[in-house]
Amino acid sequence: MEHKVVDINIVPDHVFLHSVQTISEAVMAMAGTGAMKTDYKTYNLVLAVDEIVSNIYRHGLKNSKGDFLINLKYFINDDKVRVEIREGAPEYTPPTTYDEKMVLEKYCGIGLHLVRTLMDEYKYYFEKESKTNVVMISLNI
Amino acid sequence: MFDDLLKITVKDERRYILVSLVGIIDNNTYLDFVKRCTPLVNKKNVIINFQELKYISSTGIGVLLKLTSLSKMKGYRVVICALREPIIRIIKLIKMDKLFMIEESMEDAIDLINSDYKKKKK
Repeated sequence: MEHKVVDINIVPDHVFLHSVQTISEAVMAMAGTGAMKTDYKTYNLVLAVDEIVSNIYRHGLKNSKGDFLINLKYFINDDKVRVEIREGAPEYTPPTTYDEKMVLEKYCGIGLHLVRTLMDEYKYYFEKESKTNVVMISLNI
Repeated sequence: MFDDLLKITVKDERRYILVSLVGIIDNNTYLDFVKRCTPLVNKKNVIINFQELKYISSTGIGVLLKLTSLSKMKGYRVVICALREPIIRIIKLIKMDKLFMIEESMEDAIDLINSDYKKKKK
C-alpha cells in the first residue's frame, strides 16, 4: 500500500536543492533501503527532482505572473518511491525521445534524458480542470 | 550531501591551465563555471579537476560539452579528471563518457597533455 509521506510547496529559488536533498534523503531512509543502495539511489532521486524543478524554473516560470510555487509530493510503498511535481505554468509538451543532435548542437535536452535514464518511470500530463502540469517519477528500491 | 556552492580556482601552467572545482554545479552555479572557463579554453589546453566536485546537474554537463567543443575549434583539449563515483556513473549511464576526455587522476591528465605536446613537437 502506498503512503504519502511529504506534501510541500517550494519556491524554486537557489536554496531549493538543499530542500530537495533533505527531503529525498529522509524519504529514502523512511523507505528503508540498504545503506549502499540508499547512497546512489538517493543521489539519483535528488538529481531527477532537481532537473525537473530547474526545467520548470527556466521554462515555466518566465511565462508566469505573481508568486510561483511548486508542489512536491513523495509517496512510498514496499518497493517504490514515487514523486509528483505539480505547478501552474502553461501547459507544455515534453519531448518523447532523446535528440542527440540537439544536445550536441544546442547543449539542451540533457536534463530530461537524465531523468528518464535514472528513474524507473517518468510521466507528464496536464490536468485540465485545475490547469496544472503534473510530472510523476518513480524509483524502484 | 551537498553543503557548498561552487569555488573555482585557476592555475596557469606552461602547457595547460588547471581548473579546480569545489562544491556543486547546478542551475544556480553553472553561470560562474561558464564565465570563468570559456575564456580559458580559447587560450590553452585545460585540465578540470573534479576531485572536490560533489554534484553536477545537466546544466553543468551542457557547459562541459560546450567547453569541449570550443576548445576543439581552437586546437586544444579539455581533460576532466578525478571524477567522484556518482558523477562518473551518471556520465557513463547517459553515454556521454565518449564525448569527453576523462582521466582517472590529475597526474594522468597532465601526462596526456605532456605526451600530446611531445608528439606535436616531433
